[in-house]
Amino acid sequence: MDDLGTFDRLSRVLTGAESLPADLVQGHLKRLRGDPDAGPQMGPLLESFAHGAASSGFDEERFRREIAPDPVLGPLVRRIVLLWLTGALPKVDWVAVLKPEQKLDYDATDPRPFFGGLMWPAIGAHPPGLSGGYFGYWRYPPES
Amino acid sequence: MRRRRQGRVDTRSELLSLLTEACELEHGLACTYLFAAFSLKDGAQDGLGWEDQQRARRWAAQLYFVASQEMLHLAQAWNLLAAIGGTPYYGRPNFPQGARYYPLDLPFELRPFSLETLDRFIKFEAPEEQANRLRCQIRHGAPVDDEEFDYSTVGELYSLIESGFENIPEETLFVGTRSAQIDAAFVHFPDILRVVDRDSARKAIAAIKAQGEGTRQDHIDCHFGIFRAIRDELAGTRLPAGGFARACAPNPVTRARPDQISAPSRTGGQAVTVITHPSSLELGMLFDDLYGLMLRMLAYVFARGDARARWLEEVCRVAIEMMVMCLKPLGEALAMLPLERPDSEARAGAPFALSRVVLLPSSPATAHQLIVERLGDLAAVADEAASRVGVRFPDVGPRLARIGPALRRYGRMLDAAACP
Amino acid sequence: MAAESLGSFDVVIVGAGVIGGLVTHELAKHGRRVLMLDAGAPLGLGRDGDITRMQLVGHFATEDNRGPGAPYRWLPIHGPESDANYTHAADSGDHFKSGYVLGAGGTTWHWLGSVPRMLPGDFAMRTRFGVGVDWPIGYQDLEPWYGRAEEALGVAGDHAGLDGLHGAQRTAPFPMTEIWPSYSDLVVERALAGRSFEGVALTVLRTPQARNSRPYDGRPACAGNSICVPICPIGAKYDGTVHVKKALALPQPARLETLATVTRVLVSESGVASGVELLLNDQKRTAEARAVVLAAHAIETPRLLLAGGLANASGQVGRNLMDHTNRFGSIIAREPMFPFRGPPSTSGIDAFRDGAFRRERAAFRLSLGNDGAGRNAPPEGVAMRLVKAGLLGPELLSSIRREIEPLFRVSSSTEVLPSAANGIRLRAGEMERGLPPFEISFTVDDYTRRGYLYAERAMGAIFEHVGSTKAPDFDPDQRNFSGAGHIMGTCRMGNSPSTSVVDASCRAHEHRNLFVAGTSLFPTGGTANPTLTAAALALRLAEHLKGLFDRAGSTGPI
Repeated sequence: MDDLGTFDRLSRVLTGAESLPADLVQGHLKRLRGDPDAGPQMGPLLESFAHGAASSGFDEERFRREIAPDPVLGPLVRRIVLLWLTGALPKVDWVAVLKPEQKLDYDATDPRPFFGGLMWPAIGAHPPGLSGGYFGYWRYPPES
Repeated sequence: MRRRRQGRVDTRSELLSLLTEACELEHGLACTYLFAAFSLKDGAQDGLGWEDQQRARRWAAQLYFVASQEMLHLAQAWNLLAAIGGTPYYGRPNFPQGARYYPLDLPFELRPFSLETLDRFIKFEAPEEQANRLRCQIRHGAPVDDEEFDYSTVGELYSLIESGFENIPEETLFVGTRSAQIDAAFVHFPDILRVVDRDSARKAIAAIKAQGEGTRQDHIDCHFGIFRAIRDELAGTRLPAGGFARACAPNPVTRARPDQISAPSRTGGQAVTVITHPSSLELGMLFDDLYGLMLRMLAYVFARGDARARWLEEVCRVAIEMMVMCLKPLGEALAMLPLERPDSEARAGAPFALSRVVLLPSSPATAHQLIVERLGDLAAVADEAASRVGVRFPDVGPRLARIGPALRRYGRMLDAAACP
Repeated sequence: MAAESLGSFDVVIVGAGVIGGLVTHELAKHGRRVLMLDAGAPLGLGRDGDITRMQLVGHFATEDNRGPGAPYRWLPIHGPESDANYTHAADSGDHFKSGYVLGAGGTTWHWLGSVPRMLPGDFAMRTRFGVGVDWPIGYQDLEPWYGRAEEALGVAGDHAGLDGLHGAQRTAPFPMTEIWPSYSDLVVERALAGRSFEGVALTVLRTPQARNSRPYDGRPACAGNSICVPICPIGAKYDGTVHVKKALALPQPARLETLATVTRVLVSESGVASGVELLLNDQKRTAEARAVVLAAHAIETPRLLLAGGLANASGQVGRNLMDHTNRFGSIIAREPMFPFRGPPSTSGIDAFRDGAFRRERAAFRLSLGNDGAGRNAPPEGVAMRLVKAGLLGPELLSSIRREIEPLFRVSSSTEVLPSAANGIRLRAGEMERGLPPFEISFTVDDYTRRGYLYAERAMGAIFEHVGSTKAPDFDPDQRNFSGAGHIMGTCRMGNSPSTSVVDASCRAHEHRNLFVAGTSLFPTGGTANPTLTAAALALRLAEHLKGLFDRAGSTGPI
């Protein structure tokens, strides 16, 4: 499996999404590789994940449980997950408070990651700024 | 070939017949608009650039809006029918129907979003003075069939209907039960009007015409104007790879019914396309079953309007929610699923097939039992389909997951309402 | 060297926002030669070289701070966003928190679009309640213009529900039926059915909105893009570009110059205006006019007058600055509320907007929110917190959903009385775009504070009926408030030249052909979002100007 395929699978395991758009798999990998914080670690992460995921007995839930507290890989996968959820990378000194202004770093040249953010369908809503469907849909509970 | 005569409407029977024809038309148009809306990509998985995604979602929203107004027109036509002693009619012929089925000389088909499809929508909604120019119809003198009326636009059909309301004496015409008229407090259409006399009938018909073809001064904010604007925008936009819409098969069906011609994968003419992929087939059948149930429930509400029970309001609310919470995600899912083979681009699509018109029994207790039973059956089918299809097609899964639970919730809501 | 003239016009209108656009369109339609000048960029007008709406949306999507300025702060000229961009005077007890947009279309680019009318009581505060001042006109005078403004902007509302609200009769229905309530509105309505707070029924009403509930005026119906603040991607929400574009599309179009800051209104010794001086792309220019209308919103309009020492015998120019002070509370409800779907607010409670209590404490309007825990708590923060806690995979997604789904907020928007101590003053410093810098003094008094603290108790009662899993979240700092974006009062109307800047027909007392339009006219602020009232006054002014021109000769000041 090539890097894109590995990153796609890794992202699905980390985010819980059933499928991910190909253009964002490509775009996010590129962004991560170019990120001073995540960049150097992406290669080793993908390699070790490809190896582990190929082995029989690979369990996604166990993988998540084990990687989250890892002192090196934990912060890395959290950056990857936030990129998928919001379309932005947290700035290096990010603190999880309820006011993330100035804490999320978007690629100013590309709105697509924001509109592809996974947190919006996760809450039964739509990416802010994209139509949620049709006039009046907000009256009804979410379709999904 | 049926011939139709021009004329004025003088009798209740003629008026009932025309109103029923209007019901068929509004209903059928709504289905074609929904089908086109379902076919538009939503961009999440389809690799549309963010600006194309904005366009596609904006066009879909406008198509859904027009479809919802056609449903309003259908409901309004039901009020008009009920006012003069008629009953709500939810039947329509299955797709496709040839250009000669209605005197509009336009084929009735389910087709995905495209310039051609929009051109046809424009013609359906065209105001009278534009319609003739658009279609260049040459009207020959021909033998007339006494029974059927001639009209070349939907607006003209409503003008005929209006003439009936003008010509037939008011005192004898409005025999329907006033309290049976459905109003905005009952159904989620703030613009629906109760019809109790000639004046309210005029207003209702004028509103329908204005929403469809606009007024003499302005053809922009009506369906005609909306379709034209979308078409012009589409024509002026560079198409993304694979276009804005999925390649949904024309007139998809789960099986060819006796009045339909089947020909696998034909793209033109009056043939249906039979869905053969098992996942799409399973969901297609579910779609048609839910669609039929929803129609029966709505027709029941409009026929029984005088029983202002909380239960009846709940039936209405459930039917409308079914449309938005079940039929819409299902229709969109079907537009994403394969027609035959997953490796081909050809997609299925919502069949909107109607079998025979079967009314719910008039006794509320029996109707309640049948509805709740059917909801439960379809909930089980939905759950199974969601898990089976969702595993095979993960991008479709999220659209299907909540349908079963929603249907079960509707059963509980109806049970909780003061059941008669 | 004399500055080059842009030409001679019947009217020069300073400011191409909703108010400038409305007045321009009315006058140009009537055959008058009108020049519109705006300090900012040509935004969203659809011409070659204009900044497009989609460009602005793209900027919104890549900003980490998605407040009202998000789509606009990248522009070389854009206007202040919040108190961070103002200089406050040493005597300012609080900060003035509301900003505005420079550019064609103006501040309505990022308004929410709520358009309640002011109430009869709002126009007669001194007579009725012994506080504030009276307007020189009453609700009845403005009522027909409200109807015209609703038609011009395209307002969707519930006529029957609002007719007679606190005595505000409506003579014409809304052009469109109401924007549908949100899911959470309906939950709250059910919870509040039959409930009162201290004898006042907690009736939920649909908020009238300048947002299409059907295709209107060539613009689509609202499709629930849900980012009304700071921008509507599809134009279903009205913004000032609508009438600016209409004015430019007329057979005899108005003329618009952008990136054009008016630096002086030219006035003769006898006080008659002859035109304006401006900086157009940093070049000095003039434009001659028979009348000048200032529609540059309630900070820049008085700034211009103060810079020229005009219209200020009363000393009120720049004074009586008002906003609405906003506060909110939020809860985690016991059931899903499904926020972030649809316009951020579609319903409200108007019950506390009027009453005898206004002798003692400020009135307020409550809005039901559809945006989770409100603008100060973006949902990305929830996602970040859960990720930081180590959640991953399906558990992460379902936790995000579980946390956000039940969030719900109510906001209060409370009246501020006019005070001569609140306002803008010129100060020493470097010129900006040819205009002197200014400072703001703004101190909220106890009348307002009592009002918004009472509002908080009402909100508490609402939350109790709706039901929450823990105590509601209110701002513990009772002195704190956010700006509503409702800048008003700085060139107020009045009958007396010694206490007001313009008369009842919006004409400067001292300059017979100088007029002010917009929210700076308001002697009091009431509790309504001010745009509709300003639009009604603008249409009324336009009608008045048409008459003045018709009766005047063909040249010379009117």
